[in-house]
Amino acid sequence: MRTQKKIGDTMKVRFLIALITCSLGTLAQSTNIRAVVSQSEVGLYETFNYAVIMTAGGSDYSPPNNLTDNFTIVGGPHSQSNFSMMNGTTTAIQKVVYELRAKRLGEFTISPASLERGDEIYQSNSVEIRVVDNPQPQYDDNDPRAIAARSAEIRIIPTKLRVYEGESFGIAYKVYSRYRLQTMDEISEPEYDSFLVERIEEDIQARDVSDEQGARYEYNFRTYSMTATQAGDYEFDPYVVNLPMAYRRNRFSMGADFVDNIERAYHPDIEVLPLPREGRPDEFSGGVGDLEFEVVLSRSEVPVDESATIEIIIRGRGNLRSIELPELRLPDQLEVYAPKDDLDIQATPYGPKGKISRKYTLVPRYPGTYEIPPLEFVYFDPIKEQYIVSQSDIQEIVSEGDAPVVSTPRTTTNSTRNEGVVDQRDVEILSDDIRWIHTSDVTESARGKFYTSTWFIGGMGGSALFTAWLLLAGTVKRWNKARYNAIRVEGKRALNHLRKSDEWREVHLAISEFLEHGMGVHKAEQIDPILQSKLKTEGVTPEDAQEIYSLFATCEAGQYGQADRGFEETKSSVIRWIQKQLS
Amino acid sequence: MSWIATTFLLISSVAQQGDSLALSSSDLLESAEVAFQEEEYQLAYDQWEEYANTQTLPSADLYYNMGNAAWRMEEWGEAIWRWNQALKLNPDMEDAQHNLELAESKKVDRIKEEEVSPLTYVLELIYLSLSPNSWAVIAVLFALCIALMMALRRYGNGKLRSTAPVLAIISLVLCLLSVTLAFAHQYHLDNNLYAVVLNANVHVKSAPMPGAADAFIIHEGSEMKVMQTVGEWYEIRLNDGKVGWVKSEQVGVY
Repeated sequence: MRTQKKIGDTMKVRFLIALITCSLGTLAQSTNIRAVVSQSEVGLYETFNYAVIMTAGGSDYSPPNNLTDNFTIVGGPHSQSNFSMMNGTTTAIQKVVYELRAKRLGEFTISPASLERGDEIYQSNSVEIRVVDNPQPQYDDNDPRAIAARSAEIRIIPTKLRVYEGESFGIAYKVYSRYRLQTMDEISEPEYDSFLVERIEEDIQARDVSDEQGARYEYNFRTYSMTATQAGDYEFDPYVVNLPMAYRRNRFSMGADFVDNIERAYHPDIEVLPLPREGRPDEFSGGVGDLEFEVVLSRSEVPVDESATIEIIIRGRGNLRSIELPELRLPDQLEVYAPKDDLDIQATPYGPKGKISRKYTLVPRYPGTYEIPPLEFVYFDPIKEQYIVSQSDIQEIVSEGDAPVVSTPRTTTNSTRNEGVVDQRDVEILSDDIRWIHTSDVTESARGKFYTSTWFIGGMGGSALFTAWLLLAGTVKRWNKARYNAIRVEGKRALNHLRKSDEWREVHLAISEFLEHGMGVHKAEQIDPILQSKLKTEGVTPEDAQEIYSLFATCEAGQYGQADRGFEETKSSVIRWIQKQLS
Repeated sequence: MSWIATTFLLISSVAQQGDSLALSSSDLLESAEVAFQEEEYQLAYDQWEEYANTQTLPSADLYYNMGNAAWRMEEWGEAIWRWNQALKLNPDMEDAQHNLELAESKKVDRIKEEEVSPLTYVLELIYLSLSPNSWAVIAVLFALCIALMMALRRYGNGKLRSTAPVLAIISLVLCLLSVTLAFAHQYHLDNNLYAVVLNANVHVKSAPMPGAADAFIIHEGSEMKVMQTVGEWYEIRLNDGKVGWVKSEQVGVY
């Protein structure tokens, strides 16, 4: 005992030294963040410290995101800030300390904590922790801890180990001990994430269940009313609790000392089966359990303008809170007020039990006999393992009274009907028959396919043509205008060149430029007879096309040999030809 | 002159023949209507059928009337067949739809729908929701809308001018979509053959042979899809996936 305490003290001293070392380390730097633990190897359910040391000062700190995955925070975070001034520089150091307890065995890494400062984020180191099983203490038989360990045990007893989805059951936690419990300190308890859980308050009075070995007490200290919500095989963490035992150190000691006794109870696995799909009616309400269905009409003879109630009731043991009540369909001539729901459910050691109901208040406004159709309630019976369809009887309301005129609007309704206005009601269908024969269109031939019909072709075609016209109208005109402008510009330029020219080459070039840029006839085509046909497509008369081709050939001949006519004559002819094209 | 006289005589004789045919058809229809009103349903049915045989494309209304006469004679299968024929020609005919809904109560066989993929289900739900003609009308309206938008783009001003091309593109997409749905529905009508059981009950065979084993029994009014024809036999498939063979005389095909 003394040795263990010494080891614990040594670990604490080491942790403090680490804290101080890290603090001093951080002093030397502008921004720093480090994480340390009091011990890297801990026993299961043993408490240890995890600390984050950082230079703070308007900083935003975030703890490790997986801190609680494998550990329970039993204390903290405790924050401590230090300010120091060294050589005129102020440094702020902040420590955040957590007391942690491991949830399970294994080797775990606590991810880095982070510190946001301005636009930058600083991260601490991650920390490795090894969680080992608590070694069985080697106690002396006379040691009170050994006696306590032998004298108590905990049992977790579910009423069922195999249930259907939606089925209710109970779980009891019982302590058997040979000493009277003064207090209990829970260390770890199982989590029931996929179950609806209701804790039943119970008296922790001990029940004497003495056996041949002497006094023995049973504490039924905790009971849960459970409802399975999701199918699956469920395993649970063990329940760990400290049951301190009182003892007297020696016969002379005054009062009692206490010795810790940590007990661990293993939770049995529970199998939740899905509800069978086969044979499940569409009207299944979601109810699972031992249930009863009833529809109660308060009275069957109701004078006009007086009220009666009709109540849908489901009672029994099961998942009452999850049940969808069947919808009541009433004749339109009955005035119905908003229904009132009522739940009377108690948590019992075998699951929830009680009654749910929906009550409608209805008022017949007209004399007559109103039939309320039967209601159907479908639930699953886990004992019989089948769906049960329960149907109510047909109910009748007989109403007698005066004419169907609403006399005065009632204050309990939102009616705004005026006096003397007849209430409208749905047309009553007496019988349904086929429609009468057709006499008008019998002689007409059957309609053809829509895509061969005039209206479809006309509509689609007309729209397309109109759209095309809207898109293209004016384009040809604009194109002609652009072309005419090009001829004018190039023509003027060619005439200027020609007037100044005194060589065959210059005349040849002027014609060539005009034809290419003004009329879109390329040079390669100009020395070919194709020139004439090209010019004709550009709107030039055949005679003019013939003439320019001849003039072009004369210029060629003039440049490289003997022309068939004089230079000035040719030049004048070319000028006339271009002027003619411009006009 | 003689050829003119001959031509005239020829034309007059053809016209007279046409008139006499039209008159007799008209009489037949009138007589059928009177017979129906006087509750002589068999006579009315026969006369409408006779008239239908003279027509290249009998109207949907003619089949509808024949269905009504069959219904009055308590020939439920015949009635369902004729109304379905009418609906195939005019999917918008509300009276035939109503009568067929009523006829559901006369069907003996409860046939569960076979599960189809959600995509097929949704697509069929969309294009079968309107008749081909209705989809085509919508398509034409969108086409006109495109033209209108282009006119606004050309002659409008301000905001209208700038938003018109966007609306025109949206209209174009919707127009193409409507045309596609119209063709999809028309394809469905043209390429799927259905049958209705006309006899009180029919032993569906496992093969197109009189000696083949009986696969299952279906009753009057039950509808099914025709998969293929082999001689006098139809291979049919029920909505729940059962497949077998029936003789052509036992069912009415539409």
